[in-house]
Formats: sequence, C-alpha cells, structure tokens
Amino acid sequence: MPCPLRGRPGMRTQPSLRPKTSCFPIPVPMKKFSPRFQRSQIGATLLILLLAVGCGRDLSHLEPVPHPDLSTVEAGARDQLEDGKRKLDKDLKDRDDAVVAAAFGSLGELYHAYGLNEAAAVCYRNAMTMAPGDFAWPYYTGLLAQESGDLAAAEQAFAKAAELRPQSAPVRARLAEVLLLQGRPDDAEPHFTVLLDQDGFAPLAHHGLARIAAQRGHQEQAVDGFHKALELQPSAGGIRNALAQSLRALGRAEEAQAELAKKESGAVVFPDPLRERLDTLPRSAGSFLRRGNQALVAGRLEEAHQLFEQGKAANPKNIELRLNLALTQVRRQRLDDALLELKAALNIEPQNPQIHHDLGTTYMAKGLQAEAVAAFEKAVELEPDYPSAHFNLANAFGSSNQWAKSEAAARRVLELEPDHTRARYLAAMAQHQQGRRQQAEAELRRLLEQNPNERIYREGLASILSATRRVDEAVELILTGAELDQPKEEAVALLNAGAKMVWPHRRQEDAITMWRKAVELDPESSEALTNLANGLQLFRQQDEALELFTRATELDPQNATAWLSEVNLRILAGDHTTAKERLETAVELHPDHIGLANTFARLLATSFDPSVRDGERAIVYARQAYGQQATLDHAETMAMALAETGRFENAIKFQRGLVQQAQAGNDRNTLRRLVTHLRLFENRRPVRSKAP
Amino acid sequence: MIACGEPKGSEPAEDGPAQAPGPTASTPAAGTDDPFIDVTEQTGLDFVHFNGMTGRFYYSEMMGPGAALFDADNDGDLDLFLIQGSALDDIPPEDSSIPPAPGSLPLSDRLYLNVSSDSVSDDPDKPSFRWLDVTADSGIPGERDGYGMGVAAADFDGDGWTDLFVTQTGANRMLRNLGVDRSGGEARPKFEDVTDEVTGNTRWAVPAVAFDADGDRDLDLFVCNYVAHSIAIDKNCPDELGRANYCGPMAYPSLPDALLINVPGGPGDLRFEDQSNRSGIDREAGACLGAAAADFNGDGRLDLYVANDGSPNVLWINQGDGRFENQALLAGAGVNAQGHAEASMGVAVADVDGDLDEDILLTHLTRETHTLYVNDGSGAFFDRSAESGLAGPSLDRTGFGTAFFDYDHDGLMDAVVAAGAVKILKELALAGDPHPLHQRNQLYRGVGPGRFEDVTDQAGAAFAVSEVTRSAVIGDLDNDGDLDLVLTNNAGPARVLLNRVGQDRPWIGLRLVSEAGSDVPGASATVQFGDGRQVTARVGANAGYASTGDPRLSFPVGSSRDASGDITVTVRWPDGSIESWSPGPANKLSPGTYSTLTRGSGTAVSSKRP
Repeated sequence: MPCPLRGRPGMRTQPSLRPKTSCFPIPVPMKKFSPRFQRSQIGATLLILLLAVGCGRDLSHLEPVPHPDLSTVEAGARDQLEDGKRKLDKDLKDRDDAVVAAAFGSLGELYHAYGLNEAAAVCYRNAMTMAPGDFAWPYYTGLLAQESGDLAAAEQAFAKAAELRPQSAPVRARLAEVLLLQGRPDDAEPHFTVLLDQDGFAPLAHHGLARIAAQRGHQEQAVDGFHKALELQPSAGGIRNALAQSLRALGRAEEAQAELAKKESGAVVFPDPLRERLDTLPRSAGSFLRRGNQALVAGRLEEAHQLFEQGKAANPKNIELRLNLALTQVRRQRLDDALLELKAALNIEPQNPQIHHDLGTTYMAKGLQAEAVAAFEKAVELEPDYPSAHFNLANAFGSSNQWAKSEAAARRVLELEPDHTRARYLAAMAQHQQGRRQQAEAELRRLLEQNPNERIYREGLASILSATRRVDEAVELILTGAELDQPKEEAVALLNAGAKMVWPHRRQEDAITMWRKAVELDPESSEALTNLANGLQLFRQQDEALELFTRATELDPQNATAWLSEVNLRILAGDHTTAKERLETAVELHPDHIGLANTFARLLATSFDPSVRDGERAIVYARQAYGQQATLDHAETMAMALAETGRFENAIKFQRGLVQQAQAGNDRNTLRRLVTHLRLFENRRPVRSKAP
Repeated sequence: MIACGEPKGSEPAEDGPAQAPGPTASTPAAGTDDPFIDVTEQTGLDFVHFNGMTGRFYYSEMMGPGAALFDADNDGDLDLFLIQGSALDDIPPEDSSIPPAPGSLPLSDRLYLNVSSDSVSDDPDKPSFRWLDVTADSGIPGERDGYGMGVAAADFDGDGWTDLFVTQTGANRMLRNLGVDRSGGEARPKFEDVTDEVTGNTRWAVPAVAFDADGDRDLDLFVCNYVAHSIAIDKNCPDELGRANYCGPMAYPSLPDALLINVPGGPGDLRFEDQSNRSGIDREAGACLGAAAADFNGDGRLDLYVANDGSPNVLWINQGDGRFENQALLAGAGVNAQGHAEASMGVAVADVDGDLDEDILLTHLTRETHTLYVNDGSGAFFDRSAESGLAGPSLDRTGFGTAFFDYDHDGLMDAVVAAGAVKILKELALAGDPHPLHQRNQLYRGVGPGRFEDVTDQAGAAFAVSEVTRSAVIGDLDNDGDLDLVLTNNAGPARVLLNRVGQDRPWIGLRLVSEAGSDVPGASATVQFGDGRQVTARVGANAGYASTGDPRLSFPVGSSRDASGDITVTVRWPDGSIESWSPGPANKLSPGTYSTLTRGSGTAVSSKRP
C-alpha cells in the first residue's frame, strides 16, 4: 500500500524524500539495549512514573530513559548532564507537550554530544512522540542511526525529517549521502540535483553528482563536477583524490599526478546548524581537549588555543590539556606563554617526566640551552628509559658545545633503541667535535651507506671532510648527493648547507656553483634564489644579486631577508627612490620586522636625495626598531632621525651616551664614526649619505 | 484525570553484546542452521590472551594478538601458534585488571599440535581433531621477552620446515624450526631462537609478511612497524566525559617499515640483510597494522599493499631491481573515495569479482566504512565500498583482521571481519564493563561478483559473541575442504569456529610447494574448470591481522562435469616462472583432496617473467 504523502504541494517537483520500501514508522527503530542498560532502566521507569503521578499526566507511552551511571565522569560533564536530567524532571510536570518534547530533545542532544547514544536515542524517540511535528528529533535520530551504521533507519529518519521540513537542505544532504552510502546512486542523484541551487550546498551537490558520474563511468562529467565543487569550496582538497582517479581513468595521468601532488585532504562541508550545535554542547575538559586536538592537527592554531583555554577553565588540573596548550603556544611562537603553561603543569604534577621534557624542548626553541639541559636531565632522572628525552638532551648538550655529554646522552638513546639512527648520527657528530674524526667519519660513512638519501648524514660527513681539508671530497659528496632521486627541497637544502660549508675554505666558486645548482633544481624557490643572491653579493656580483633578490620577493613576499638584502643593495647603489618604494611595500608586509624598520628609518633620515628624506617618519620607524631591540645600530639610527627633524639637542644627548658606551669598548672604528656624527650634530648638521 | 500507568511498549530486545566478555572460553551453543560452530572447548584449546592492562591505558595493550596456522610437524594438518602478551609495567600480572587465566602462567606464546580426536563420530558437529599444547617441549621461550603482537610462519631457511618470525613491541624473534624430535617417543617439533641483529629490530612491529621480494626463490620479510611508543612516553587521551582512554596513532611518531632480504645460503642457513633504504621502503613512515603481498599490476612480481592507521596506505610496486615504488595514490588505493586517509587495520586480498585480478578489502574504525578497492587488472583501483554492500554495516564497528574466503563453497567470495574497538566504548564503561572494547565480529556472504550482504545476525551463536577480536585466521582445520576459523581475542580466549556448510559441496585443494616441499607464499594458482570457468587464489594473501593463515588453497568445484576432473591448474611462482598441471598419475587433482604441486614438476609455460 502506498504511503500517504504529507509533504507540501511543491514537493511534487522534487524527488521523493521517502524511503522506497517503508513508511518509516515513528519512533524509528534504533539500537536496542544491552542487559546492563535494561537493568538501569528500572530506576528511570520509576522516575517517570512518579513524575507522572505528580503531574497528573499519563506519560506511560514514553520509553524509560537509560540514564548512565555518571559517578566516574569528569565533574564538568557530570554537572552538565545532571542539569539536563533535572531540567527534564522539572519539565515533565509541564502540561504542554512541546515543553516535555523539548526537554527530552535537549537531554538527547546532550547525551548525543557526549557519545552516550543509547540514552540519546530514547530521548529523541520520546521527543518525537511528544512533538511529532518537530523535524529536529527525527533529524537527530537519523544522525545517530547513521553514526551507528544503521543506514536503513537513518534513511527512514531523514526522510521523516524531510517530510516535516521539505525545504531543509541539510536533511536532503544527509539523505543523499545515506543513499549513496547504501550503493543507491540512482536514488541519491535527484537529491543532489535539488541541492545544486541551495545556498551553501552547491559544492556538496557537485561532489555528489560527480561521484555518481564516476561510478557510472562517465569520467568527463565527473571531472567537470569535481572541478566545480573545488572551485566553489577550495578548502575541500580531499576531492582532488577522486578527481585524480577520474583523470587517471581518462588517461590524463599527468594531470592526475598534479592533483595528487597537492596533498590536500579537506572534506566537503555544508551548513548544518543542528549538527554544529552538538559539537559545541559539551563543556567538559575532555571535550575541549578533543576538539582542540582536532584543530591543532588541522593547523587551526587560534581555534586550538581557544579550545584548550576553555578546557583548562573546565578542569585546571588536566595535564594533557596544558601540555597541548603549551604545544599550541610554541607553534604560535608564544614561547613565554608555553613556558608559563608548562610551569603551571609542573605545579600540579612536579614528577611528570613529560612536562619536564616539553619544558626542555620549549627552552630549546627559545635558545636557552642551559635551561633546556636542566629540564631534560630532570626528565631522564624521573624516567631513565625515556628515549626522546635522552635524545633531546644530547641535542641540547651539542647546542651548548658540551660534546662529551652529548655523546653520552646519544649513547644512552642507543642502549634503549639500538636502531635510533638519529642518535647514532648525533653520537658521530659529537665524536667529530671532540676531535675523534676518524671514528666519526667511519660511523657517518656507515650511516650514509645504509641511508644514502639521508641529507644530514651527508652534510655531517661533508663537514668532517671540510674540517680535515678534504674540501674536494666534500664538494663531490654534496654534488653527488644532490643528484640522488629525492624531493627537490632536500637537494636544495643539501646544496645550501654544502655551499655554506665550503665558502670559508676559500671555495667561493664552488659555493656559487652549488647555489646555482639549487636554483636550477627549484627555480621557484625563493629561498634558493636568496641564497644564491647572497653569495653573488659577497662575490661582488651586485647586479645579478639584485635581480635575484627582487625575483625572490616576487616569488615569496614573506621572504623578509630577500626584501632587506634587495633594498640594501639599492641603497648602496644610490637608487634611493626605488629603495624607498620597495621599503614602503616591505614594511607593510612585515610590520614587525626590526631590520626593515631600521633600514627604512636610516634611509628616511640620511638619504642624499631630499625627495626621499622624511624625518618624522624616520623617527617612527627608528622608535619601532629601538623599542624592540636597543642595539647600538638602532640607537644610532634614532639619533640620526632626531637630527634630521632638527631636534639636535636630543640627538646630541643620545649620541653622547653612545660615544661613552663605545669608549668603554675597544672598537675604534665605531668610536670614530660615533664621534664624527656627534660633531655633525653639535654643528647642527644631520648625517647625509654620499651620493653615488 | 488521566491515569498514570506502566510505560507501555516492550522492553527493548537484546541486540547488543550477547554476553559480557571475560577470560574464559565458554562455548556458545550453536543452532542447527548456523554456518559455524564454536568447538574451542571440544578441541581442547585453552589459550587465553593476557594483555597486561592495569587501568593506565597503555597503547600497546589493546593491539594484539595474532596467530599462525601452519604445519609445524609436517604431518599434513594445521597446527596452531598463538601469541601471548605480558605485563607492561611493574605491576605483577596477577594484579592486572584482567589477570591471566588459570593455567596461562608462565606467559608464553603457545604451540598447539593438531591431533586426531580420541573418538570417531558421525556427528558433523563433533570435531575430528583436538589441540595438544606442546609448547613446553618445543624450544619456544617459556617466558616471553617483549610484548607479543603477531607472527609470520614460513620456511625462511628452505629446509622444508616452517619457521616462525614473531613481532613484538621489543626485539622481534626468529624461531627456526629444526624439525621433528622423536626422542621422547612422540614426534614433537623443535624450535631454536636464531634472532640476530637484523631480525631483532626493536621497533614496535605488528604484522610481518613472508614473500619473495627479489624472485630468488627464498623468502624475504616485510616487517610492518607501527609507532615509536614506549611505556615511558605513553600518553593518555581522555574522552569527552573526562575518563581516561587510549590515544590514537597520531599521538606518537609513525615508523617506517623494514624490508629484510634473505641472504642466499644453503638449506638451514638463515641470514637477512636490511635493505629498507636501498629498496625505498623506508621512505614512507606510517603506522602500519596490515600488509599483504600480491601481484597487483600483473607483471609477475610480488608487490606489497600496506595498511596504515590514520595515514595514507601504501602500494609498493616491485620494480624488479630491488626497488619498490609507492604508487598508491595514483592507483586509487591510498585514501578513500573522499580523499581521506582512514584508520586502516586489517587487509585482505582476493579476486572478489571473478576477473582474475586481486582486489583489496580494508577494515577501519567506527564511523569509517570498510573499503573495497576493486582492481581493473592493471593495478589501478576503484573504491567500490558502497556498491559492494560492505560500507553501511561497518559504520558501527572497528574492524581488525579480515579475510576473504568462500565459506559456503558457492563460488562467490565471502568475508569475515574481526571487530573490537580501540577507544573505550563509553556506555559499556559506565555500566562497569571490565574490558569495554568488545564488539561482534561480522560475516559477509557473497551475493554476486564483488557484492556482499551482512549475514552476521543469521550466523548464529558463534557470531553473536561480543569480544575484542583482533585476528580472524582462515584454515581447513579438519581437512574436509571447507575453511574454518581461528579467532584471537585481546584479553580473551582464542576461539575455533568449525565450518558446517562448505564440506557438502565438491572441492579441490592445492598445496603449492618448493622443491624442498615448503609452502610458497605468494605463489598463485588459477584453476580452469571444464566449463571454462576460472578462479584464482594466492598463497598467504589472506593473513588476517598480524597472522598467517592456511597456506593451502581450496576451490569449490561446481558442476558434475567439473567434478569429473576436466581441470587445468596454472601456477605463477614468485620467481616469475609459470607452470601448468592437468590431472595425471602424480597429481590427480581429484575433488575432495589436497593435491601437492611441486615447483618444477608441472609443464613449463614460461620460465621468465612476462
């Protein structure tokens, strides 16, 4: 017998939102209970009975909710769930069915959000019974069923929800996905087609239709659909995999490879306020930790930070939260904040070796080697079999040139993990630094033989060869390594390290060759161009260097080093007008870059070209640089800027202080320059650069 | 006034766990139509896995164990090797959350010989064999050093006796089978520990695959490493309710896998060389939990498919010169159809759609679907999970070991999935369950080429049990031609499920062996029946999880004309040579028996790679 259609009249133009085989009886059959839950229902049943007596209403047609035992649950979650239960108890006394339905539904949402699905399912069923016209409860029921793998029940529930709210795009989207998951593309297709015109759902629709086309072997159509979905939602990079498969099937392997090389994995998302609401409901530390971790793994650092902070507020004693918050702060470059978190964690668990370990890695990131060593030593004192703490200790000792200790720590790692090749490498480098170069060389050669592609082993061996005046061998080792089959980034890094290694041995030409090779390998690498340009600049090939620096900034506007080098070359060449223009852009892109600020200030204060000079702006940038780092160089710029604006008294005062400092030191050239400028200021003359 | 009454509606019927798990092997009663019957107790298998759990949620405690079905004493039937766990910290085993079962101490891996049942019976439900624990006299270490994970059983030294490579969280172990010792009156296999610097890799390895990587006719080892984890750095990842829980693989650095190449020597000589770097295998680091060797692109060389937990899977295509190239992403077998890497655990390989190439089934976490990659014959795959019927029923299960097998011998490939969660199931935990990871295993019946239906609910008592199963190992335990199952449970009993339906249909069995009489993992047989129908299968492609299954191949015969013997078998050996056999005096290829096909004894079709 056909199911009576209760949808809106307009529904006839849309595909059916009903399952093919049944009239989705409500309540939708869901997962049933294990014996333990059956036992726990007795109390709930009695509760409902008592409440019903109290309110004078017959609620006997409702199912008893199997409230789980929350005694072992974190306080934040327990309080929230107990509040929900209390609200339900209170609202059960209400005469309005809608109120009772909402109370069951709200508690269902809470249980659902905390993953207590059996209790959630019963709550939703009761809510549906009390408010059969509310689409939210069959929708949530559908979500639960889908998550539980009961796709037939999910289909029924989504179809019911769609019947209650035919215009709901999220419902249609869920239904289409469930149909596709059941291997029914023909049933899913019309729903995706309708979604093409729904605001925010076109990416999903194109993606769904493209998948159906691919299943049917219509690969051209699939490629088109995947492209449209990506165009509308570029963050859904996961689509590229399916796109690549369709391209591959069409014989367009190179295009497929290019898509796969992007290595993106973002999912197609669509607006779904009800589902999103569930994610934000739990207020326990555990839930914030979970969500924070998801954000952290996805690289959404600000969101991760916020979530971990909320979690910390929910349970200040949760160590995992604090460790991950500290890690987030490290990734946000807020190293001091990370240290504060870790120290707070230590106050809670002073004997936790991981906290000491993480403290050590944070100190390392801050360049505080002595503190890092102390932290790692504490970690291994508390946990003598902690390989990464020993390894990082070896690193920290190495960074502070305590090579004997570094070697000992690396050896301890090897006792714990004999195949820890990085520790073996570190031990070899420590031997090298202690003058046991033969042993180190033998060890590195062994490592390199086993792992010819491992860049650091090759670099390590090359450094020993360079140090023992076998520069030719080092050069060959580096150039051979760059020819190996490996990611080009690795080859470029190797060549750069090699060039820096041989430069001090008066092998500038070899260094330039290496940097040129790096640029050949990766002409789009801003870093490689910058390295070559730096080398050329030192080799007095300024024109080519300038060209390369400029190209490096075009390829990567975030390359502040290239910006700085480029403008310095322009200033030296006397092209102050262009230098000024470029600095305007550079400081806009890098507002916190001290070097750029100082260079700009100096140019504005001292240029021979009056059209370039601007004393007031010079003071702004000079203050920025000096305020962030009170170095001699920045102080000199400050004095020059003051003089340029005619504030000679201030400039003189400033400069006298610098002269006094310089007199305490032994740098005569600096002292001479400072005194010369002081005399200028005393004669009420600003500093001027020489015209070319 | 409206009367208050009892809530109407029946109590919800039982559909979840049929029984609480525990470290005992109580046998569920089978119904008369059940395809499998649990004969664990009847066959005397008393092994109970101990996982060392203490409430601290150490990551490794819920990952094992595997098992091996192999002929340890060369008497023509399958013996059973089971991997044991151990304590993970300084808490004595008896003080663990689930203490060792009575009789489990000392905690060691166990070797059970398959021996004839004492009594003969016509009752098809009465097994014709029983298990005899011979661990004590076998040379297998009595107290394990390290925490056991899995095992690869194969004749690594080419002496005709199957050896054991045991993976662990500590140094892996190579146990060489010395042959049968009859000094005590009874024939008992003897093993010796021949672990060396190469095989004793200390990384946390889970499965290992024995295969001939370089086509030189000896067996090499692919060792699947998981993550860099130790008790010292174990992390806790509390759930939304703030209760302690296991972390996932992303909490620890993933490890590259290892390729150990067997260095040629005489029979009994056993030495490996680590060629992970030279081969390119160590270029990919992933948390590997599953692996299988097969010839995915049909070039005659054995490739490797590697299932990584939470990162893209790897398809190592054998280049024939000692190098392997990962072609998973372009081949369409690296991530799912949505482009997402899933938590791949188990992997099974077989021809599910009858086109004579090898397809891949992967199992994943709850809320992910099993993935069926269908091969187009060239090594390019298409995700056919939804169309196959495998996707939907898998959403609420965490699948571990899986295997393809035609259990009812109807000519269509079926599948089994061992299930058990890796994160605490909250509702079970709040109800006080001592090991709240248990789920029901799944049985899928083939309903057409590459199409399946979930028949778990119709599979009777053996599939109604809810446990933390990790491996489903396939083998013909009673030599009746159909395929039985050994299930390994984490912190629970190993179970033996006897097939009650497959033996009623005619079948032929094949054993593909080397000149020394050893099974040859990676060899494939294609059987052509009289009606032109062809089926293919490969030795060792269905290893379960961290396990080794029956090396023999069993095919349903079908029509009576087929059964008359009009059969041709073509075998592709891993060295690239191809031979064929037709029924003859030496190999009758008779239905109802296993025929042994020895390399070099057939008609040469090709001595070189195609």
